[in-house]
Amino acid sequence: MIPHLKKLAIAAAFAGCVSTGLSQAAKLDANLPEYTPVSGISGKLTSIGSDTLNNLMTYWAEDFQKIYPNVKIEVEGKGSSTAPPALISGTAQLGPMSRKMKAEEVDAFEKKYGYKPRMIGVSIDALAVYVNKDNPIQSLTLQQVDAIFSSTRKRGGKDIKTWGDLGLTGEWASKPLSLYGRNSASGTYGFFKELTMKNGDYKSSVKEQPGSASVVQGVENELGGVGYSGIGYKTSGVRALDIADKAGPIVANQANAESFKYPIARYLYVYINADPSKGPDPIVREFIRFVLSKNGQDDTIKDGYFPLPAKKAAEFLESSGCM
Amino acid sequence: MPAPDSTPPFSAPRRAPLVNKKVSRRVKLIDRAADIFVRTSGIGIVVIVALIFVFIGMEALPLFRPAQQQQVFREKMPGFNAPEQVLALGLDEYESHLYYVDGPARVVRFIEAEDRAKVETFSLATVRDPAPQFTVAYRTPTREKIILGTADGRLVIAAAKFQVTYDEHTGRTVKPGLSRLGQITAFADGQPVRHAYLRQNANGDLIYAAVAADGRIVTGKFIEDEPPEDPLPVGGEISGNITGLIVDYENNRLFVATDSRKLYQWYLDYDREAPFRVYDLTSPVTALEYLIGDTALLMGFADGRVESWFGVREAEDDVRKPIQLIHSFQRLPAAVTRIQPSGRDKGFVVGAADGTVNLNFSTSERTLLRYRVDGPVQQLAYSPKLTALLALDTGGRLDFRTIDNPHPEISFKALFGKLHYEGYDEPDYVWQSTGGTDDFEAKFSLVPLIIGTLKGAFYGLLFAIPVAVFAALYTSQFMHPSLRAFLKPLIEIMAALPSVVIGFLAGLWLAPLLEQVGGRHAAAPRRPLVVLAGAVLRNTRPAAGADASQPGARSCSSCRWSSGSSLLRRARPSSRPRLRRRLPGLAVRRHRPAVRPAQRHRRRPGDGLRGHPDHLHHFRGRLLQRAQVPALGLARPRRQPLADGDRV
Repeated sequence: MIPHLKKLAIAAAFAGCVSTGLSQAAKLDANLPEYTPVSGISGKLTSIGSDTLNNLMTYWAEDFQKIYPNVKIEVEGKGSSTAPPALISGTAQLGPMSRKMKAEEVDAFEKKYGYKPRMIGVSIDALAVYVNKDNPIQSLTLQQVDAIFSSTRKRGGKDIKTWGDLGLTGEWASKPLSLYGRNSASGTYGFFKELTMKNGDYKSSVKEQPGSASVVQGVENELGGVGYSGIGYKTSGVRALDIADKAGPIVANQANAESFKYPIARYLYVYINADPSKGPDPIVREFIRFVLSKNGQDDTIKDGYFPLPAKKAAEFLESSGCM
Repeated sequence: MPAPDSTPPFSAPRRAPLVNKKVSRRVKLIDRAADIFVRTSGIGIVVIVALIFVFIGMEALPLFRPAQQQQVFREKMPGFNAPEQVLALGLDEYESHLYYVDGPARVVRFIEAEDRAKVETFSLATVRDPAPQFTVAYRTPTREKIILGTADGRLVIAAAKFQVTYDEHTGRTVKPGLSRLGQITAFADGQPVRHAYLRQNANGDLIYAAVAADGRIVTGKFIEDEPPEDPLPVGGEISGNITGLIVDYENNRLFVATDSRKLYQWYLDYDREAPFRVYDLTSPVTALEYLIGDTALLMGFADGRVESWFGVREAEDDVRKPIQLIHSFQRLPAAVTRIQPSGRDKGFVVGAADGTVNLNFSTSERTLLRYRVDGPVQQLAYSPKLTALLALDTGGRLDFRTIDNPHPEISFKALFGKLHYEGYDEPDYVWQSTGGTDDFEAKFSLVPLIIGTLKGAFYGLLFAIPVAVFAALYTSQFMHPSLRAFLKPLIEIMAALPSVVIGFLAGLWLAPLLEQVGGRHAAAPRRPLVVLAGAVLRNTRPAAGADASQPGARSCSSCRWSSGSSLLRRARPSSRPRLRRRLPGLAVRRHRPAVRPAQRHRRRPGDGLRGHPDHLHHFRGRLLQRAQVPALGLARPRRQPLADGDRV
């Protein structure tokens, strides 16, 4: 009887937090500009890069092609590390990345073109740590996240192997953690490594998946699973944990991501190749203008990410030379 | 791929002597052509595979090529009067300008690398706030931030800027500039600053540490465009004069070295008042730096030793880690005067009092380059792209060299040896090739990859060998020849499919499917055991319907029964009688009435061609199902195994 009541109470608590989580749909900044189409845009665009941004790029491509029926856009997403080589070789005009380019990658680009690639922030992501929806855990500190995923534990603390090490009781106490992560071509892999484990190393028991969707799927199918992926890949079978810093647990919602109070929030980027003396190609310019407009930012919400504040969008628009 | 090499029932016919001369010539020609074609193709494949190896070898060869350097110029630096005057030296990423902080003049001078007569000077003193002479300066290895200490206890933070413009005709133009970011009062009593150190974290916040002439230490955080916070003092007894201090980008781990051969370590977040540890060294530290990533300490000693130290846990949940000696590098002939870490990898340059300059790589403990300049090394600059090295000796001579060092992290030991990587408690074989940032230490040990491959192959074989052997046995001894005639070549052709592709499919498609079906951990290791157990069970149980007196499998040669009848079925009607004569079992049976149930399993001598109850198909109970099939096996629908029904 009592365990049943307990379960009910826990379930109720979850229902509560899930519903509040869902009710906080991201809001668009009213000051974002409306997209105004221009004439004479046609041609082909190829986007190669981040898997985190894959669905979002597809949304944008579809909507952009609705405005310009003569434009054809192909989207391929295998990981952020595939973007720089594609931009350098010219096979892609858009290089979506979930991390910033490394100096080495910028160098390689510069060696070929003589100038640096341009970076445009296109959305905000609250990188989430997912657990199975039936897992009762509520939040993790960064130190715990580090101790779960890393073999180096640069944030200190004891190694965490079972859910009991994280304070869960009952049948969970002895249940081992099953770790899911991305492969090394992923920007999320590198970003998570840098932010949560201070550039330490992943445990060899982390199951490296080729895409964000398979990380989430793995966690969904395994009760003891835990993995990380962009917030846009959240499904009903998993739960994004609050991440605690010194001030206490922080929910992965729009306000916290926008202010970067959520400790592992990040910008998602698109890199483009733009000759500084000529500016970007008209079709690339219009695509970026579209992405940073109200219409484009609306898609970020549709995909589960957070839109840029109008001020930030304007900044990126200016620095990219796509005004 | 298990290619069941059965005892061939249809072995290739020997080439019969040719009878018809006309045909023979044509066939001979075709034979010759085929021969030539097969031979050239075979040789071609061998050549192409060899070429692929050559290509891979050529691609991999640069990994092992040593670093190269080439002197571009060596000359007196413009504006140089005395060694004490140059407080910091820098080089921009395009190697278009080199610059130095001139302490007494309170300026930064930018010198064009191509034409050294062109010098631009920027003042660091503002009209409103004319700072007194600068006593020290430090430039960060990345992003060209400079901290300067004044003779009256203040710190000035500045940034060298390089504005790049492009023109279609002239190409890239780099225009240097200097911006003064802010000023901090470090020592309110006006004591001169003796040492200053600066770091920048990922958010762009600057962390600094400074020492006054009387040995007081402060650290603090400086955020651009925000009013500066007051620096906080650091407590603790220190013996001797401070020769170096470094603080990490988190404003937490502070190290101070003194000329009395001591090294002090603080964890400022835990205790600002007293050092966490004090280390006794064998020689005084003359140069102290953080390697990129702010984890490993680089120490140069008065006796020429160069070492790297970092923290290792004592207990499993230690957050504060005492440091220990991890890597020792090639010893310099004289006291180390300068260490300049790279801003991009785990390499660093050291300069000595006799003019020796060494380029080392921390992870692999290698010395990649070694050369000498004319006098004691006073300042060093390593270009941000790691393609140029600049050294200034105490005589004011600049030595500028270009460096070609694309793969410093690769060595035999890095690939196959056990290395002690930053953050690890002991040396280990690790493969972690990428991180999110430049300060990540790449780990390229091939050992885990090799062992993993062998392990995968071993477990794969545990599963594959029984399956393959049993499949081969079944194919050669039990399978219907018409099916075998189709399967055998199919499997042989399948051996030509790239196993990488098959493995990929198995990993991405089949494995998740099996996981859902059979439970993840349960099935795989048990599979071979299950197969074995099944085989043992089958061999020990009395076969269904078999005489209990004849347990176990019998010779399968008797399976010719089925071959015989299928041969019969395929043979032309006219030749059937002859065949039947050769296969007496068939012939005899033809004239026999249907077997009655009571006689079904009785065995007689010479019954070798009868079905074998202990065969798998009998076990499945086909016998009873098909008992009513009419007498001669010829009318039976195709594709059905024949053996059991034929007993009718």
